[in-house]
Amino acid sequence: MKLAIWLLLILALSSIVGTLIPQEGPGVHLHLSPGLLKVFNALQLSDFYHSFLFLSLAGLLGLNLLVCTTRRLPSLVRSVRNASSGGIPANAHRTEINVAGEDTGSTMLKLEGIIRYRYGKVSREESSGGVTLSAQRGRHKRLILSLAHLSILVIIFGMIAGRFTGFDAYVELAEGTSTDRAYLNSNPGVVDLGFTVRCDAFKADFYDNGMPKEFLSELSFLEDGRTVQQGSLMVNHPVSFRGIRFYQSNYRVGYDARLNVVQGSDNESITASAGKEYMLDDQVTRIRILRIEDDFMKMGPAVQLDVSGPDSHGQVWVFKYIQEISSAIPDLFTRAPQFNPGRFAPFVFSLDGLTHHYITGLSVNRDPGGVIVAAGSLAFFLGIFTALLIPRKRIWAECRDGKISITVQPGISPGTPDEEILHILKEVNGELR
Amino acid sequence: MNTTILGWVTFIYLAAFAFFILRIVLGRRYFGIAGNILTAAGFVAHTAGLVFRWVESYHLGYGHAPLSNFYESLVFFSWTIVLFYLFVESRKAASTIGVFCLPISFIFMAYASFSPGISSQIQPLIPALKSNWLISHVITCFLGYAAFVIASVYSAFYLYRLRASGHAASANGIEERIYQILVIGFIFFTIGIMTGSVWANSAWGRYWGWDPKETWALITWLIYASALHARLIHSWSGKRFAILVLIGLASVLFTYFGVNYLPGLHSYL
Repeated sequence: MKLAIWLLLILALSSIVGTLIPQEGPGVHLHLSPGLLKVFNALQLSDFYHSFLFLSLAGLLGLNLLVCTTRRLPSLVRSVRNASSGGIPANAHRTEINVAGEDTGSTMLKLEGIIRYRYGKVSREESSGGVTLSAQRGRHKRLILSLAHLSILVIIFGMIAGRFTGFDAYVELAEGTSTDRAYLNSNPGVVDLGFTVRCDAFKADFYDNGMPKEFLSELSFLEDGRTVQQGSLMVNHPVSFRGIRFYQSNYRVGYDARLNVVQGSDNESITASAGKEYMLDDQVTRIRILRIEDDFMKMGPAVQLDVSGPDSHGQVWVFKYIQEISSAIPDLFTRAPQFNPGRFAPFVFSLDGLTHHYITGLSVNRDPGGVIVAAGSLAFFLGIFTALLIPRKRIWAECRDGKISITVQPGISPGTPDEEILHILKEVNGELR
Repeated sequence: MNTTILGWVTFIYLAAFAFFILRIVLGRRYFGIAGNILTAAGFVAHTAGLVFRWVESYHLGYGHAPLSNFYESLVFFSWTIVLFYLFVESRKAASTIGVFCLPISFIFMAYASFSPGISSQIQPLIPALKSNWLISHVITCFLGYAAFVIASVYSAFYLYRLRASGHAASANGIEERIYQILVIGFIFFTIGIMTGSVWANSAWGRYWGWDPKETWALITWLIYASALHARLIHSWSGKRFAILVLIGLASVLFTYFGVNYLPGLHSYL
């Protein structure tokens, strides 16, 4: 147990490390010298709680727990059956009693009655030296406590099982779009969900003072193109489908651009979203939307396009307020040709404005180990709680060489050993008189 | 309204503290009794202040328990400490630890009420806090904290006794009491961590994420687990046990205050 105390303290001390060093933060490596970075990587300091050092400490503690508990278990089971197993402990409270004018045999008989009344079953041992009576209350306390300790191993097992069989992922869905995959958080990788999830709508509610009130995603789950289940996802109210749970994690605002493309007498309007590619009316020139900005360089809404035609290729920024900007800066197009909406003649681009929509951020995970962890935690808690409620008390009455002594060993319980012995003495004497 | 009451409670606790000092310095029992009466009166007013604040939040249309920002958590922490003090005092009227407990409650109340950086306004709940787990998680955690504070006060007292008398016998009863309070605190704190992880599982999609607050709660839990085991080993009981309890207090305070200076998800406390 001494080792256990040291391990607990070392584990506590080493846990501090990970709270002081940002864990898996992208900025952490930037501020370190190469030498220091090597130390960091060798000790896995930026993923400390999954590092070899931390896991082996936790493993050692688990091993210590397992060995100690299993070694004690047989004697604990024995002590449930028999109070005096293991003998009378040296630190127990022992008092000799004198009973005048009566033989020890009948006093012991009385004591047996009193102890049976107060403690329940009494076991009687006769040896050459004399007679020993023993009894105990709260016989299951230590066994329950040991089982509670073992349930910590169940928790650890559940955590490991969850790590190997489950996943933690993330996906962003714009309103009206759907996906059948999510992106792993820990390492680059994609999870195939096995079904399609669609965000039908997203709502962000705010209080009058501007604080957020509620974020809500309306989700539909589809299999083979058919909607199988629908649900409203809110913070603190996850939605589950086919064993995979979805959580409202965050949201952001996305923009669509209402673009106009004039080519001679042809006027074409496009509602464009970032990252998408569009074919213009001449059926040769393509535009790709690189960026859509709500307020670019304090000059209002703007869209950056990548234009690739048969004999030209390049990029252009299209501002909504290009008239005002170019009249304020007369030589703008010579200084910054990339701001000229007519850069790719014969096309002239203009931006009517932006429409916004929400993009909801969902945490997606599966954790089959969670149930095991929950069961282990519950068992641990119930174990230590009931063990606390059960006071364990043991009593021995010995008759040796014509002298009677009573020994009491209290657990955590009201009443001191002295009070207990005094009480028993009163009963013995009361019956004698 | 509620902040006025709670402001007054601050001064009642200060007055009770003054009486406990007089009790020690002048050695008159009735000062201790007066201190306890004031403490109890302050506690009643404190409770009323919390209830009024709860009711008031309903009038504002928010309707949530007063456990959702730094001001409210300080006030509640102070309340749990006084609650525990009165509980221990009612079982073993000794009036010896009042002189340590009341200043702690007073400082938390004064910090909450008079620090310019802390808003005492009732604010609505952000989505992450809108959970049935809020009340059970916060209450159990703070009851655990409060028990640890009281156990630490006794430990300091125990170490002082040990120095003064030089042997453990005169302080034996105190050690037993520290242990009992620690067990109560440990159980509450364990429930606090468990409810917290159930809540985290439904809010963030994981029951444990090594967020600084979570990690420091684990550190505190590990230290007190070691203290509980230390009591059972002869060479670790007594002095070392009491020192462990005090180290645990440092960890409790860091879990509560210090973590806010580290990046993490518990920024609202």
